[in-house]
Amino acid sequence: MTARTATKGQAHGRAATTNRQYAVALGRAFAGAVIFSVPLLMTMEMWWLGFYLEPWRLLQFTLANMVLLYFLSRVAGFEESHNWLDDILDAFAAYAVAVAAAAGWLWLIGVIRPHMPLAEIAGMVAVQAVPASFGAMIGAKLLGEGDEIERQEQWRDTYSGRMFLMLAGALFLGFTVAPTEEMILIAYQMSAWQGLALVILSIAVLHSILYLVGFAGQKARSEPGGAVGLLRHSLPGYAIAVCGCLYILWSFGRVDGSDPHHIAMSLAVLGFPASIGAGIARIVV
Amino acid sequence: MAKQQRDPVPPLEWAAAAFGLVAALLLLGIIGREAVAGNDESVPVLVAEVERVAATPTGHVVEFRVRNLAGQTVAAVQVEGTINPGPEEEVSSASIDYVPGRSQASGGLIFTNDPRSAELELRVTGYEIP
Repeated sequence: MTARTATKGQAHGRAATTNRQYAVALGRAFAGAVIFSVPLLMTMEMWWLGFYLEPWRLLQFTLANMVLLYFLSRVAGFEESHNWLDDILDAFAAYAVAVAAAAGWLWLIGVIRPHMPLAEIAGMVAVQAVPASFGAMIGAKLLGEGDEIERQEQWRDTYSGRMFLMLAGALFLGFTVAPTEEMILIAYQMSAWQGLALVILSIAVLHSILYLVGFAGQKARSEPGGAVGLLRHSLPGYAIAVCGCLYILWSFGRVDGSDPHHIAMSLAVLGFPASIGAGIARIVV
Repeated sequence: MAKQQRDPVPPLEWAAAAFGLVAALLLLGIIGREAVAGNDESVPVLVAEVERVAATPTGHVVEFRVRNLAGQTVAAVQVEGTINPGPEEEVSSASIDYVPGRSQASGGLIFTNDPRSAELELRVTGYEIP
């Protein structure tokens, strides 16, 4: 391994090997958690989900979050990670940062009050810890320091890695709107034709971002666009984004008691921001 | 640096990960206990009780507290207070957004007559399951 410039690359770039370097990485994670989750920490529906969701839903959501964090650490993360142990440690560290940020903030804005039962507080913090830990994991990227970390994460450039990135991107944008009542209301307001148009628009937007529009920070693409690209990346990406949306809606109890038509309409609505998120995944995650 | 030599993991990384593990287990434990108790299907039991009565320039305020004794969270809780039930009665009502399971929430009813010198009835008349 060649020596890098010590002045610049000390705290970021390679894996943290000293407490000081790791503290800087944790600070980055904390910033990421706050930047990403402040809008959600200030959303009423997110507080309410914490106490009206069935406990088993909260449990599975938290466990699924842990798995997501592990894979996020493999494609990005707030510091470089070279092996599975490092990825697991980083996943738990991101969760620690998220719980601290969420609990501290909820207390500061008076959502967590002294007389509340412990289970209610735990529920609120657990719901908020999901987006906050997601933000902690992509903190380096949000602060524009992800490049060095990514160079080491080879999984990013495989097909499965790219598909996972699209899922992460879809959750990134989908999560900010999924808990709101508006998602359901919009689905009720739209006609079936408008729903169809939105699905087609979502796929078109995703395909355009992936193949036509070159954003800064997106790596140059050598692969063909057109039909091959549509079948190989855009359609699977849309499918993954919609599955991610269905999972979030189900976890939030938003599909309970709905008929398939209304579930599909909600997915069409939430699928639009999720598709944009999947498209810009390489820029944000 | 030799390739087979692993990067040392700083102690702070272990500490942060351990804190995360403990936080996760704690949250999972508290929520899991609720899941095992499993009385989510229970019928909400709502009790409204007077906390204090105060005279203000705009009327007599009865501050009340609604306690939910069951595990089921309720929304849009309507509370109605009646002074002097009968032909001379005065009715006031209030609604509370949420009363989570085994929790409490507060509100106030405003009367023109003094509830302290009369018979005051307080009850929860309805709710919505969120």
